Amino acid sequence: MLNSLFFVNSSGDVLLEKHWKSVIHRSICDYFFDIQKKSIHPEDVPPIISTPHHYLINVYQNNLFLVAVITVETPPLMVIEFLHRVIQTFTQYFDEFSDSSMKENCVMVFELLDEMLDNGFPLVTEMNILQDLIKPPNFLRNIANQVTGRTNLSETLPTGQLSNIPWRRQGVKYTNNEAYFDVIEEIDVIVDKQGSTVFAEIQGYVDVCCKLSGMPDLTMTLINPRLLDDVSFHPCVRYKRWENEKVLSFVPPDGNFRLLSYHIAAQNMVAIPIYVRQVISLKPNAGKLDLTVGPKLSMGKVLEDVVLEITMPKCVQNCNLVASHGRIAFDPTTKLLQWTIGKIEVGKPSTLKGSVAVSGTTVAENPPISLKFKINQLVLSGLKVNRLDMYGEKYKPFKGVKYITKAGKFTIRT
Amino acid sequence: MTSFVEGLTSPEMEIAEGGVILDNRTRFADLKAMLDSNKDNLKVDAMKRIINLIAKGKDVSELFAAVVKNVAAKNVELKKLVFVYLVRYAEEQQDLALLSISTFQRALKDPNQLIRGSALRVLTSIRVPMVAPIMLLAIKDAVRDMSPYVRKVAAHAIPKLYSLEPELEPQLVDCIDFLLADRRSLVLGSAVYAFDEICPHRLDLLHKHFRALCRGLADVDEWGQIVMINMLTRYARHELADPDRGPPDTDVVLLLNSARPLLQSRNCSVVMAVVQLFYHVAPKAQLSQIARALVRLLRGPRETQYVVLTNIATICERNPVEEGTYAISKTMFDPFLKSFFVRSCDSSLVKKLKLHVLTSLVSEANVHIILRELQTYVHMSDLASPAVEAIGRCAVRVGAVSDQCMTGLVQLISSSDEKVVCSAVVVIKRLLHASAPLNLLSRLMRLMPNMIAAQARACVIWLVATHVEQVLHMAPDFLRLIAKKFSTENELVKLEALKLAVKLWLVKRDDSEKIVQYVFQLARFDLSYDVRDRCRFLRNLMFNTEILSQHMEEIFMSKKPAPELISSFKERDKFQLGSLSHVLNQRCTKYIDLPEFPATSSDSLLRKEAHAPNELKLDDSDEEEDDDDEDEEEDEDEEEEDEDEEDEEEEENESEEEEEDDEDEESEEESDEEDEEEEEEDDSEPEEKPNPKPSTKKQALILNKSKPMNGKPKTERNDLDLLIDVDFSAAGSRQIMDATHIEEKEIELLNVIEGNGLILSISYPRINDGQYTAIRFGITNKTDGDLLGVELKTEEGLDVKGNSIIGDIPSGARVSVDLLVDFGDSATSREWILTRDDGHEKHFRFEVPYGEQVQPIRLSPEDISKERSRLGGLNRHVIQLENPINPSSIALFVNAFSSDLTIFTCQTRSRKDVCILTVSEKSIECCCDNSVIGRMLAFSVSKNC
Repeated sequence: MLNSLFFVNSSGDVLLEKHWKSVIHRSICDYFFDIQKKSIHPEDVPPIISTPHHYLINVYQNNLFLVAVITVETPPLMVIEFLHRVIQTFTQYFDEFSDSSMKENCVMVFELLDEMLDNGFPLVTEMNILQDLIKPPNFLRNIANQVTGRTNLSETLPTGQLSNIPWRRQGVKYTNNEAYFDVIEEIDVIVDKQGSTVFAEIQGYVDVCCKLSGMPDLTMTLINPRLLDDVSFHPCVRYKRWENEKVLSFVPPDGNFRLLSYHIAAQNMVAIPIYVRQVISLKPNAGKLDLTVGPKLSMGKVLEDVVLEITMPKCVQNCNLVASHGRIAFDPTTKLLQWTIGKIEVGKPSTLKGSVAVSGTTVAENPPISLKFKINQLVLSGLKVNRLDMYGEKYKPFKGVKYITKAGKFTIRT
Repeated sequence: MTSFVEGLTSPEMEIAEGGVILDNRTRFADLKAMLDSNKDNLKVDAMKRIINLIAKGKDVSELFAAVVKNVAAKNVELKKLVFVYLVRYAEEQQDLALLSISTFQRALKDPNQLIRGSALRVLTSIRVPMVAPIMLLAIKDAVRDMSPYVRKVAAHAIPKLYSLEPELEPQLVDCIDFLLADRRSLVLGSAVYAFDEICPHRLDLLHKHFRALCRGLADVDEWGQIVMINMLTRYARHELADPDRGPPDTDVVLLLNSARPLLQSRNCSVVMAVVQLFYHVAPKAQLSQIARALVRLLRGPRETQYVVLTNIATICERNPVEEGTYAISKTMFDPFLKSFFVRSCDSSLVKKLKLHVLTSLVSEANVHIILRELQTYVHMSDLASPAVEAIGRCAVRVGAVSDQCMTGLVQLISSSDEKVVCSAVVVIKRLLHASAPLNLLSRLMRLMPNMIAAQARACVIWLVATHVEQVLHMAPDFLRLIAKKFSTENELVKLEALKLAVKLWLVKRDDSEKIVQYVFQLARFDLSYDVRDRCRFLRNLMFNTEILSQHMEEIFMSKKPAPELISSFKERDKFQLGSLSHVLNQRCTKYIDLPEFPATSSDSLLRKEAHAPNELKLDDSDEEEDDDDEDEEEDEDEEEEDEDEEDEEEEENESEEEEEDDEDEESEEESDEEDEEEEEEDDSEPEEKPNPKPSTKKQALILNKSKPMNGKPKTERNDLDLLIDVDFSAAGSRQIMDATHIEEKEIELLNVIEGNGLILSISYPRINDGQYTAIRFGITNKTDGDLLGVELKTEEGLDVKGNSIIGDIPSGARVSVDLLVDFGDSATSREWILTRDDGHEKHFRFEVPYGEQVQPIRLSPEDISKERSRLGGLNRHVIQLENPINPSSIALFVNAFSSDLTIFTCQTRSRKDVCILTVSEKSIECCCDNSVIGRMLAFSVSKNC
């Protein structure tokens, strides 16, 4: 599989290199740089590049490219998935995956990569086992290490690798035993010019923050499990049990993890909780913009963190807008108009009005509007956790379930 | 102390800030000094800085000697960092690297499996060809290690050694073959990975493992699953018949059924692997299942989307017009049509692929939705020209809307966007290739002066030239307009204009002679070589040669076939879906073509496992019903097994007598395990409850009574199913088997008088359950009244599993109870107590013969001869026979396995000591690790049979 991995930032420097087989000189990245330079946007770099003797598979996140070098036929998705797993791991270890955090924790990154792959084939990718091998850095431990001379490397040998529940660390102890479940739904919507929905679907997740001692065995039942007909699970979920009884039964990993994600397709019409009325015309010298945003199906819940973004065409020079609520920012270099509205109460739509300075002679095409918002304590699909039981441990854990609806890729065409 | 201060202050800062300011010598001297010190934290500091330099791609190979000295360090972190360094630079410093080998060799013998594992991992990562023989030995040992973790590492080590020394292939293939038979899912994934790296063509090795691999699929780790599914796909295409022709092979069904749940995996590569398995192997009717999974993957990051869309495009492109397959690709993705709608936040590659998929999905039913969508895209600046082309493709695919598309396209020509105009004209040119309506042509000709893009202009001229007969009256004038601006035109346009001139010359010479000559004159003195060249060529053809100019018409006015739309995704179909070669559309190194299905499946007996747990009920739905219970039980069993391992390890510790801490650790682990086991037992309690319900006591008892007779085979079978997967066999080569013979005859221990009204008898059901020997107690109440609270007790210190409280026995009823006892390989008689509520207590003793304390195992012939040669001296007993014995009756007395009735193999349940009985006409030979057991078994056979 992977021969080598290079961390490349958007300005074309190699931050870090790691080789699992014979060393491949970093000049291999020149092929990548050539293509990177040609692409206007970093996302336009093709993920898989063929060079005379090697194949480069890259993944882009947060202004960093991970460029994997392989020499023989390998399922490309396997490499891509693995690289994303690497990013996830680093995000959990260092709170963010970025240029600076990678530079700062260079040695630990190197050690982690060494543990994750053996001869280029994934060996340990479970967060819990990795944390057993190499303790994540934190402020307190850093100070303690300074004083006592200890290190982040675990002294004891990790036994998690040997157990038949490889995702869970052994000997977990907490004084407060608690488990939090976040049911998050993102709605992907395309609304056309006339305001009717072209396409809508729900992408849902159940994220868990589990701080339970010992080896708890959890069972979660849902009020309406039939909703989840297209679902993917964390390996800890007993699939047979789900198939037969529609009950989620699992021994959870320690810490944060995604228990399941589901997808509710476009056929089941999804109710959109927000509407946008827009009049945009980008005529030269007479550009106008008039937007109204309001809640559609209130359901008694407040829309929060509403942000509206428009990337204007190049010919737009400036915007002169007045908003009834929130802040407006227009960046003349990136042409991004951002309207941060915040909360929208029921029955109080927000408006944005004003003129737009457009240069040139032709009428520019109207740019699409993208929208972000959040609704607490509501999921659009109506999914609900019925009960949550724990077996295998004697203590009474604290359990909490939270529901959130968010805008995913919410696009309004104009 | 000075070096410490230096270490903290000197070069670190300069390096971190980018420029290497200090020259190498002083910097490395500094690091060397730190490495040579005797403080661990100083060394660790130095190592960290060195690793930092490696990560940045700096060469620090000259520190090799100083670093390798520390390879045997006690400090875990230091050791690990040194390993990292060693693996990186060993290749460049081969001689020095040899110094470290002995450390690893020592560690390979460590009692702790994790230390053994990591030593093997680092040892085999050192790319020094000289060490290859040592590696081979280490790997050969490790594949037979009793720890599954070490076996896994060994599997990983095989490809490493292979890349170092490809000549070792035969030996390594043997190791792989051995590992493929492993029962632990931890090992299987890596074994398959090794197989795939070294001998992917040796599919014959897989025959006997095929079914086990299929069943084990769900439990293997996700990365192993990917490799495994890809390999099984190849196997199925190579060995099994096409399920679309005739009834599908049961093995195909097994494979598909085991892979199907993995469509639900969180790992998108696993999903992709299952998808390609279904695409290449499954009957066409089952294909629809994969569409939904693929569409779900579209929610992933852009890289995933890119790969998935490329694959979807290929699936859709698979002969969409051909009967039959068309229906599949259509119904597959039709419900998800809207998932391919472009979002403004998609990356441009994804957008283009989505467009492609959309147009290949187009049909009479959805063409209007798609066209409306495409029209929106025309207004998106970065998608405009692909969208126009997509409209063109729609027009070709669905004849009914081609007129509508054409009108739309013509309208687009007057668009203000140059790119749109250009691509619209190009598309129109393609569509009008065969025939062009007059009104469209004249409209294009009128629009021509406003067109700016050279390509568009050239296309219009080409159209006019091709269909010149239809616009005879307008064409000369059209040429005149072009001639007016000829010198400023682009080369493309000029060439097309020349072509038009030639055609006019042919069809309407009298009207256009002047203008044609004018154009040729202009071209003759053009700036461009190509135009001048073309002009000379045409002039000579037309005016100078008599012979050729006679055939002018045939040369220039022949009909040309319309160009076909061939997408690049169609040719990708020759590559396996989901492969790198497929995405790049080129044959990658080591890509293996997927073979065509054979006409008939290879003999299914090839795939027959030596021991198939549930072969009889491959698709039985019953199986799934008790699966949950099974799962739980499985966990339990596996834990037990872990315990087993640890037991054995402790034994090792004892024998080696070193490292106290290790023992401590182990005992800690063990106590953990015990805790878990307790939990598990807690778990299982509620399940047992429904049975002894007070109200239906009598019924329950009757049930109990009848159960052992009728229900026995089934429960036994289930137990076995579980055990097959988890039962621990020390070397991995031993395979625990079912008992070949189960004695139904009971041995009466207590008669009515001794038992005070109860008759107690025992039999041995020969169930395999870890180190436990199963004993079936049958108790019959011969008194006139019910007996309450009957209970079986045993002396303390005996490990007994199972419910020894029998409860109440009604008059005349019989109850049987299975107890699992760990005798620790000893035939000493044990005391048992039968008590009941009325105060009667009966003590009795009995011993379990060694023949019942062993379990049958299967060994390969090589292993048998190896074991026999190993077990000499005290461990071998030979009894000379006066009369030949009947070998078939041996199974009555010894629970052993035999394939030919001359060699019987078994192992003791507690300590897993191998025991091999060889029977000939004249003698019985018994080889056993435990000499007492060996002698007793040989003796009992010689006496009884």
